[in-house]
Amino acid sequence: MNYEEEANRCRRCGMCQAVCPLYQAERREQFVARGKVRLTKIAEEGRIGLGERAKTTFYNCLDCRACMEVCPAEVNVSRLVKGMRSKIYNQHGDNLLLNVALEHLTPFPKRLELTRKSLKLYQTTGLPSLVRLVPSLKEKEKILPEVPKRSFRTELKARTARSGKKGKVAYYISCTTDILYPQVGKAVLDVLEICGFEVYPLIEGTCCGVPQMGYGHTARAKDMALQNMRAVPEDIEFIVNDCATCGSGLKEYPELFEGTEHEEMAGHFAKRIMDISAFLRQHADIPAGENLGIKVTYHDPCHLSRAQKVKQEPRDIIAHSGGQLIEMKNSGRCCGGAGTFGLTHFDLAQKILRQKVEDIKATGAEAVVTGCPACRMQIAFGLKNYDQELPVYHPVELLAKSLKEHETEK
Amino acid sequence: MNFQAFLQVIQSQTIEVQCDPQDTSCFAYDASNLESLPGAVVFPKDTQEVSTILEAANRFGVPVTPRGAGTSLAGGTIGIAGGVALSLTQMNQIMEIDEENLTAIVQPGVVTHELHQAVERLGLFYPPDPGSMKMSTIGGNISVNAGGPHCFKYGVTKDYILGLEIVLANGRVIRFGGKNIKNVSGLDLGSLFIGSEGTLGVVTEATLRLIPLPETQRTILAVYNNLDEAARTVSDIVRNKIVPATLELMDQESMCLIERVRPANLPLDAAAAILIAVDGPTAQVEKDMKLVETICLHNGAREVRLARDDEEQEKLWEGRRSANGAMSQNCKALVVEDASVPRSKLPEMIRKTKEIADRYQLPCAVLGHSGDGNVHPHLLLQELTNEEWERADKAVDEIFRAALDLGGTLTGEHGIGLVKKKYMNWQFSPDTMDLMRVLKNTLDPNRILNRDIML
Repeated sequence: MNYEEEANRCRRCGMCQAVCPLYQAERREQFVARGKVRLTKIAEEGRIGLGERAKTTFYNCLDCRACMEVCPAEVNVSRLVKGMRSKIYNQHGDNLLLNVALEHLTPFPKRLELTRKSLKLYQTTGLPSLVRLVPSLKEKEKILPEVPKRSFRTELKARTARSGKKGKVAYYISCTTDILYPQVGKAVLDVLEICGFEVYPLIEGTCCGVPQMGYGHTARAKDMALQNMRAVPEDIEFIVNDCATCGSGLKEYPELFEGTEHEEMAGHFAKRIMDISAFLRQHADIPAGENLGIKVTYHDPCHLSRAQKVKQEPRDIIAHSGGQLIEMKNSGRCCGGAGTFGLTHFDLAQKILRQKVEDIKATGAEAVVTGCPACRMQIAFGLKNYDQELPVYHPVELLAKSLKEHETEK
Repeated sequence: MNFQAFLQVIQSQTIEVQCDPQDTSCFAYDASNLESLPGAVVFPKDTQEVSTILEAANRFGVPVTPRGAGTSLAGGTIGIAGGVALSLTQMNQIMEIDEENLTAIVQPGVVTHELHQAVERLGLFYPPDPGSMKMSTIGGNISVNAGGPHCFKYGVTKDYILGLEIVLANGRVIRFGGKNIKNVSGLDLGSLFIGSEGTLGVVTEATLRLIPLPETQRTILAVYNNLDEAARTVSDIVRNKIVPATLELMDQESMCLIERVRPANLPLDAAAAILIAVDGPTAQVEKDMKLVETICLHNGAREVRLARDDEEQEKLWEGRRSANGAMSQNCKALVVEDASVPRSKLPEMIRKTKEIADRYQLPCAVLGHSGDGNVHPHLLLQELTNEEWERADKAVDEIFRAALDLGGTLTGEHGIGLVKKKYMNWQFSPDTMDLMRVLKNTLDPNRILNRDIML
């Protein structure tokens, strides 16, 4: 993409101000898309260098894409921000901690599993209460949900795959599902199998590379993307996933490989990526299930509702499970999680989260449903922090429960 | 100017200031096609800080340009290069909504639409609704005396200002007006400052008048084969003692562009359509709406669409609201103008505008507030060559000449800013211009406030 041309499409109307969660919290132009697009323009024109201040500005972005939804000129702000972050990384590098996480940890599922084990160990000892004594970590520590006993990949080994008459679909395993919410992965497999599909979990795959793209580590992101693309057998028509952010990231591989020899391969891969709720609604005959009768509210993940235009399908899945949906105000407003943003910009993210918790509270729902594990972590954290301890589910978990209860009854 | 000395004063206080070009670049522009890089941006938290900033700027001759959301279409927030951008966005509190006196007290950085939502929750109404109301600030609205579709029935920003607190160029703080509806004590300073585009002082607080929220609003879309029929309809509605809340006109080009980008089922072969909204008590609205429909048909409307509920109403407005986006996607730069003429001259003004745009070979779409004669010609630039910009400049010159010839004015609601400054001499006699300059020089002898804007 030619960043200068893209930035020049901005008409400076400022409509992004009206929807940007960060601008609304901070009211300084650097926080909104218009400011970032301007910096991109003048940096690309060579009128300004990209130093520390520009870096701060480009990292003050949730990638929630609310601006892109209202932008009259349809400027691709997400790509500009990622592009500039990549340029900044190439010029200045990153700090040690980020480098370790992005270059040496997340790209490797086995090392992630080790991380999970150490986190579990950490939680089972009395350490968390000690860590919470450190003032700067007191609040942040609580964002980590209870780490499960076994990862999804481990559970998968014990599971016998069922064959299905409806054909084979691949299942992309997101890192968060793998090490924090294996129950979601299990629900995906259960539901797909009940609907008659044979599931091919992409065990050879790795992290989608979104953290790397987000921090400008483009070369590493490409390696990971290649690994993911090569993990999918040729004869597979659909690759389903249960993480909004992974899904949108996987769909953006063609942008990552734009103008390279792998562009076509990436295009072929991206076309087959589907969110689980969307896949079920469009390609599955979901049998009748038990009516769960639970009152829920649904949070639209930015990377599902806007990045992938999947809004209605998760709601349909909730309805199919007998969930009684009470819409919250601004269901599509970012929860402030945004990958690592919730940790790196803790106070700002809390302002945004607090509003989300208020909107949830106002519905009187018994549970929150959302199609993204990162949102789930952030929202569960917010509910805990603001004394609203409601359970948070993925839509497919409700469906799995409803279908399985029905099967047992029969 | 002694910029460093100024900066030292600011930095010795707790005033937030940014000087790195990586920051100040984000305050170098607005929604016009102009730019100028400030040497510093300051973010005062309260009136006292604004006062400190202006006092220091005045002492050291540093030019200051106040800005809210930076959505001016006339370059009203483009300052002197190397000067100070005074961002009022941190002063964004609604201090009070008084349901007994029907007033609100707000800081200048409150976003217009946020005020709308806050008062409407209480069944109250603040009518001014400029196109940028979701971003624009009350301070900016006061500075240009902003209007919007509602102003035909409800009046402009000025009609809702009961009192102001203003920091003068020398840093002194003055207050006048308040919650009194009747108040003729002293000179009417409001008229001096409202619409002065930041050339005379900086608004730091406003007491606003609120009215009860109308019970119901209904909308009709009337489609015409020629402009005169549409204009006759408007006159006829007014003659029948109905005052619609809005009377928004879209021309053929606008409708075609909207349909191309976001289909809203608008007619492509019609010369014009008007969106007519009527509000008030439900029974009255129903009655008025029937009459409006009859008047539209009687005046030659080939089609009348009535929104029966809020959802249908929303659909009708969706098209109008996507006009800006539709135009943006069909050009490389957009020149939006804001001439205003007496209501009866509106069809002639639109015809002349189109004839001028045609002559300079520029695609032109016209939106207008047909109730109050305010037209917004949008020139769509495709090449951005010097030659094309020159053609656009000449076309705009002629459009303003035409508006003035018809007894109109240079700007209905966007302000003069930098963009239209050169036309001031066309509209005002040398004596009138002199008086304006005398007022400016008296209030701001060192000419630090918006030196290049308007005068």
